[in-house]
Amino acid sequence: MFQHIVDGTTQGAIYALIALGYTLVYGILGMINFAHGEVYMIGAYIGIISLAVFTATGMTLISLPLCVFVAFLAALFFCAAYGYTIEKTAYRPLRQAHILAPLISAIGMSTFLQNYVMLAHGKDKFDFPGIFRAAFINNTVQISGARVNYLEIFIIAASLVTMLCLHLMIRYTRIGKAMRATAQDKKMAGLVGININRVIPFTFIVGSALAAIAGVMVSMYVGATKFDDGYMAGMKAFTAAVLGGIGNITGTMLGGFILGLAESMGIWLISSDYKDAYSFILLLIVLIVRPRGLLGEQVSDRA
Amino acid sequence: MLERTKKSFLTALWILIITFPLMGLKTVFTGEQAEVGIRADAFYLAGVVFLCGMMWSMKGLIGRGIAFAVPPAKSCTGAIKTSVMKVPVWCWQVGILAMLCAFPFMGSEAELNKYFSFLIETLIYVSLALGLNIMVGMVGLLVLGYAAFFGIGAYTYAILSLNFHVPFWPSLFIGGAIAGVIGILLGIPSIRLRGDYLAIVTLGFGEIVRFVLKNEAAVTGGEQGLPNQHIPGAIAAPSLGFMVLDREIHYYYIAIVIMVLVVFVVHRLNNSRTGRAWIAIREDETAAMSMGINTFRMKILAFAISAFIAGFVGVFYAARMNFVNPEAFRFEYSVLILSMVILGGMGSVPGVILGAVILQVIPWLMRDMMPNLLREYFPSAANVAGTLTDFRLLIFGGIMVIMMIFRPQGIIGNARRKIELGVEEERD
Repeated sequence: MFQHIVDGTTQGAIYALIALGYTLVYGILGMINFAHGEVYMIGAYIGIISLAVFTATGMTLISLPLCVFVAFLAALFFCAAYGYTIEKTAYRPLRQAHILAPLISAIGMSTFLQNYVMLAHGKDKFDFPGIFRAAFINNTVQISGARVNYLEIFIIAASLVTMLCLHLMIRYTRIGKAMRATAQDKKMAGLVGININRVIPFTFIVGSALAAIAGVMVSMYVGATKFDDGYMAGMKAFTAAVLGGIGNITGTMLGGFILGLAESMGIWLISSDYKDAYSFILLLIVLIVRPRGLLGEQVSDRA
Repeated sequence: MLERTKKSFLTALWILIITFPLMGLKTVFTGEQAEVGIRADAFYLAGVVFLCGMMWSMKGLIGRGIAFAVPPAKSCTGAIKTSVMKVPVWCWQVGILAMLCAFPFMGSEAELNKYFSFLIETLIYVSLALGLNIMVGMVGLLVLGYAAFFGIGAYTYAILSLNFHVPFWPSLFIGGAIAGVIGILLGIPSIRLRGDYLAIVTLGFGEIVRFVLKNEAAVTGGEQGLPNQHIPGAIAAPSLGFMVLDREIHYYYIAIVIMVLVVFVVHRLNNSRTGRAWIAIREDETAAMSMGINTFRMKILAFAISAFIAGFVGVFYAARMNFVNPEAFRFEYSVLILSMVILGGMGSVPGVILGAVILQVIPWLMRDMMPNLLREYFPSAANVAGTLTDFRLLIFGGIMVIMMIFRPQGIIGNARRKIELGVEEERD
């Protein structure tokens, strides 16, 4: 029982991190960023590549955790760059267009990025170097009869810290205030002197950085990544965002954890055949009862 | 000029930086050791980006040159456009239909066989895109799980034919009806959701259908699909009593008939009371409701008809492939069909048809047509042909982005919308 809760929370933390990227963009632009799952996958690749570079240059001899930390930073930096570039090329020209136009552009971008990684690194699994995992995986603690390894603790803790940082940033900093204003009303925010063309790319950068962290953590947890990993993870994360109320940051975090827990409970109680379906069934039930998600506001139909 | 060179250079440098880890490095892990090598790919890419940037900055010059050489270039395209518009619509319809019907007589069957599968697939996609267009284009409901209805139709026929030996023709309607009923059942709870919430619910529905097909192996054959062993003709081919229609050419004509039927139905709906009610809902639901339109019933009707078309086409697909498995109804296909609708121009029948044809032709050209031509006429360029095949989805994704940037309203925008609203309404 407790084992399943731990698994579910770990998975949920990761869903929540990716889902935040969807929710941030949705809150501001009102569009589904279909390419977000691909950014997450690219984050995983870049994490592994940077660890390879560290191994080859002998930096592992200094300190393993430091290498992992720098790999996280590298993934974060590059994914932020990807997020910025995607916004600039695929979405900015379409900001005035019909609401579905950026959706198609995002789908195109997602196909493009997936194939770009596939062409660069092949169709096979891309393994996470074992030496970096061993220290995390092999150390476990016993909590109420469940074996929890350090990696799970690390993932849960790191995501909570990241989410706290995000929350503080949105709540208390200048740019966070600008983001909230832009989400409420783009035109009005522009009129009071907020540069929307800085706020929107910044949102993409933040969302992509969160996805990068999630990507490296998952590849560490699972032990490998693959060029089409972004698809399922992206879809689940998007489900989590909608479940909690898309556009609402607290709701999205909650949705991620609920989804992760529901999935592992479903596997435990029912069967693992329908592993990927539980989240969607839960979503259908929640949306029928609360059409705007758990914490979504009940706004009028036409905003 | 210097300014532009600098800009292209900076863009290329940026591309080099962000692609460097993925394309510029080659990493191999052997146990605890790793080897890292440099690859030239990222540098090539940056070079290409630089050249493209330079060409883009020259386009002003080149354009002026062309304008100088051929002064009335613009009015010329305008003239072509108006003369195209002058041809009555029925001429286009009859002409295209005649060409499609005449195609099999242009060569021997063995020669043309390689084109049939492509053409049949295109016709199937055109029908599906038109079906989805009812929900997305006419009523404005974003539906992301359309392939599920298609799959329900296909599986219905596979099960009916394998277990109960139901013939093809009634199955067309049974499959359509079952998909339609499931569409209604999905529609009733989810219809009051708006926009993206509906999108995600239908996406979830599509995935659930696929998981059911995958896991309920007793009925659906699980991941292997139906029939479990490949037996030619296990799923009965359509028959006319005196002959069995199981050759590609037969399926080709059936596909044409199905497409014409769908076009006819959609076209009639478009100009009917129902169609106008749908468009009213799309433009402003509250206003439509206050004008006395039963929006709930109209939306459910759209769900039902749209799902029926998908199921109908699905039955044909199962008969032709003689095999169904869950992988054929993945989310990707829903997305592909949706892209056809939006790319072509939502709500416009010719637009949607064109969108479907374009999104079918591009991958086909890159996968089959161009590599084969290259191999035939330039044997030395055989590896270029292989590269083209590998890159086809990459190029496909890129083209989708570029097309959207240049024509966000779709290739053929909705004519009625333009007339009625005068200008594109502003959204933000």
